[in-house]
Amino acid sequence: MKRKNNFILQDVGGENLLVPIGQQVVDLNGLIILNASGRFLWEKLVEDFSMEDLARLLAEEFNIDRECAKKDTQAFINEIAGIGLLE
Amino acid sequence: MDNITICIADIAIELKSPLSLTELGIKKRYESFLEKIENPISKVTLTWEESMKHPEPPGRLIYNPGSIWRMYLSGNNYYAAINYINGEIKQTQALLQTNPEWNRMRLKEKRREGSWQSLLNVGAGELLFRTSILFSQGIVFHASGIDDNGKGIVFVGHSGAGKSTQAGIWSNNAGATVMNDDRIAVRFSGNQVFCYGTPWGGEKDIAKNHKVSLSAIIVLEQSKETSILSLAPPIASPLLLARSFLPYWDGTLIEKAVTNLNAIVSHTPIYLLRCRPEPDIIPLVRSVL
Repeated sequence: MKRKNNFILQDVGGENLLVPIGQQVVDLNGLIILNASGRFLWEKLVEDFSMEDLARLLAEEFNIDRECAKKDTQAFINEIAGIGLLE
Repeated sequence: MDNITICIADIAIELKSPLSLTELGIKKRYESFLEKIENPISKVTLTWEESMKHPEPPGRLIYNPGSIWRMYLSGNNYYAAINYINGEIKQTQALLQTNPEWNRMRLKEKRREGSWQSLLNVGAGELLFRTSILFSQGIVFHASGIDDNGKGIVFVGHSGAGKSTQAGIWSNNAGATVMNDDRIAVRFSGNQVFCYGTPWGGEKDIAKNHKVSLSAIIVLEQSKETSILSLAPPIASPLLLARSFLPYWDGTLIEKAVTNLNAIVSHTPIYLLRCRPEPDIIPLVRSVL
């Protein structure tokens, strides 16, 4: 899976904000705040990754166990897929 | 006719047009902003041209927020095709062409028969200003603004949050000047932050050419209980970004807007005011300035 390109990630007052660009604005009608792990996964998703690989990378980056990383990754992917942020 | 300089938020917009402000139907809107300042922070040239037919935008459509206008990109130039006439969708009435720096623009416009008013009066004028200010460390908020005895207060909020109501409450108070009840420009300059009235007012059409040092930005929320809370930048900034006018058609411009907002927020106290719109709110707001 891979993310759509029409968003830019901005540091707004210390928060990671996803700002839609172009037609995506009309479809989404809002801004999205990401936590540190969300930001990490979003940045990885510029390339095509499987859920399993993403969970492994998250576990390595944040030094957490694989099961917990899997759960977090699944929740994040469900969230962004639900609002149409994946290709 | 001679060129006309319209000055908004210390930005000089030089308008070149064969028609006078009266003939363009925009004199009332801009007459209090016709001043020549010695050292404007930036200069924008705007050439107005009459088009005998409905102007057609070149290039590809990059942003279509609805029925009023659309943004196209051709080469390095942006073209805003504006269609808004009394709320109806029509063919393009005005085509605003601009360079990527938003400081050299051309507006081609088809005049209508009868009583006519250039779209510079509202949509085109506002669009060019709120985008070009991004290059001068500024941003335009959906806000009303007060100069309270030399202290600038900007009340930001979506429609219905109480911006105009605040303007009304403060207008009856000695020493307070309402700058605008719907569109306020804020600029970071020389380690200071200033707020400015713009020509585009809201419900009460209050639109004064007025500048004051900014003391606080207040996010409005209607509530039965009254409270005022200081907001830390990570909470305040996304709220303010969502209540500003962002150039959603261009990622580079969005980055500018965010940079400007971050500079403003790091130099300005931000508060969340929950209240019913009543005059006794004034001492509470003054207590935090």
